[in-house]
Amino acid sequence: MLVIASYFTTNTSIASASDGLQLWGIIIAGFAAVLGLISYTSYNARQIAKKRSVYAVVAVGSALATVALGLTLTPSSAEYGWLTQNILTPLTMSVGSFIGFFIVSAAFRSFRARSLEAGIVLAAAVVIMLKNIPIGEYLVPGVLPLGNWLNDVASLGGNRGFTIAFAVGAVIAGVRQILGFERGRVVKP
Amino acid sequence: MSIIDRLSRIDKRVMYWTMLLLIALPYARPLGLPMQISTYSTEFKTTIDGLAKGDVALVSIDIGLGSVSELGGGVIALAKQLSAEGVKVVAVSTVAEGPLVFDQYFKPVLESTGYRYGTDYVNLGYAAGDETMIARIAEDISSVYTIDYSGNKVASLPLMQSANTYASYRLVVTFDAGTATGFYARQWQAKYGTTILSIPTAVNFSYFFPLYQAGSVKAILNGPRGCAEYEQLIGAPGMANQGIDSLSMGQLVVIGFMLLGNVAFIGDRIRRRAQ
Repeated sequence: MLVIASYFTTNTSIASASDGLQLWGIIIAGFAAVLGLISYTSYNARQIAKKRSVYAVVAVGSALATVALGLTLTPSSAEYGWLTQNILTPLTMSVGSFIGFFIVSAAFRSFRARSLEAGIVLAAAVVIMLKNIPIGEYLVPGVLPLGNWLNDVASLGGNRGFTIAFAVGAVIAGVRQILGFERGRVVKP
Repeated sequence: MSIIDRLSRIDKRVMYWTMLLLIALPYARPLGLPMQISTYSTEFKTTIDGLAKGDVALVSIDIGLGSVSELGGGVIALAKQLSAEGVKVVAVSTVAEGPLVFDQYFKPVLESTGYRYGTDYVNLGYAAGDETMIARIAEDISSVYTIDYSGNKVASLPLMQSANTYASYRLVVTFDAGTATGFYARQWQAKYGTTILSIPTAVNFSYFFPLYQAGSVKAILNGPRGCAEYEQLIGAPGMANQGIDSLSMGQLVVIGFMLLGNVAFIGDRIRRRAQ
């Protein structure tokens, strides 16, 4: 309530309290990364102890080595830069690029016009994909204005409705929680 | 085995090899097709044209290294235009890998044009907290960032002494593979009227488009295609234009196999009905 109130007022006490809460939020979020590292390390340590996977050794070793390097030499050091440029970047890009291959296989097997609605979605997807590539305009003349209409009118209308509904729903859920009507998440049934 | 049966049982390896060969082909023989430049990309470029030498821009790198193949061209092109205009840059990130993207792709362009660290640009690095963090830095950057990505005290950097709140920034540019555009639209544009520009991944473009149409986001680039258009607009075709032909072929492969799958599906349905 304080954070919401600070959005609508210039009262310094409210603003100060809101600022404090925001900083707490940032600090707590920061600890999530530490918690993640602990959880990741302990899970893989158990895998190593049970001799289940040799990859767990690589996973823990590389994670801890990266953290140690970052802490001792700072992330902007030449050594850390080498690590990211020559190992992390190619690996991350490769993993990202695999998605393209999986999408071909998934699209072939699952994107079927089983009903009229599925057929419309399929046609819209093809138009939008063709619109997003320069060769599309040459293969199917007129795909650009049609794709723009789908994006600027059809998709926009649905998206805007979803966004507004989501925002109103979040406000209602927040108010219900603050007033104690919504206790499912905090009180065991 | 009939043609329909063969089509419905195409081996995954055939798809993967077709994809691999066709996306590699443009690197050997570029298609070089001219592109129609969209109004979104033109607005993006002209908004930055409106900045004056010495203005400060907040560049929020909210993508990881995995999204560089998609938006890397845009990162470099933005660095080129901002440095050509003499705009000072403060970089932040809501993604842990964001500062690495800045150091590898943005910083080299700035330094090649004589930008000096601390005076002309600063990389503050990653901070946790997502929207809360973005709301907080609008009012007081030093309350979130006490040291920058290199470990320097933020208070000791000359640029940060004069650019600690939203009031010092003429605009915010976010490279976005998630939800950061919405954060800036709510916490910077709606509250203080700051100009927001967004460079989302292609899949997020439709998601942020309502913000663009509502005026919360001044201009938006449409994923890799938008980056390629932007490169052409600033007269520096590079990484995005090199990749766009490959992207074209990749999309065609997906569309092709999607259509083949449907031909097999519909053919099979007709055959069963006939039986």
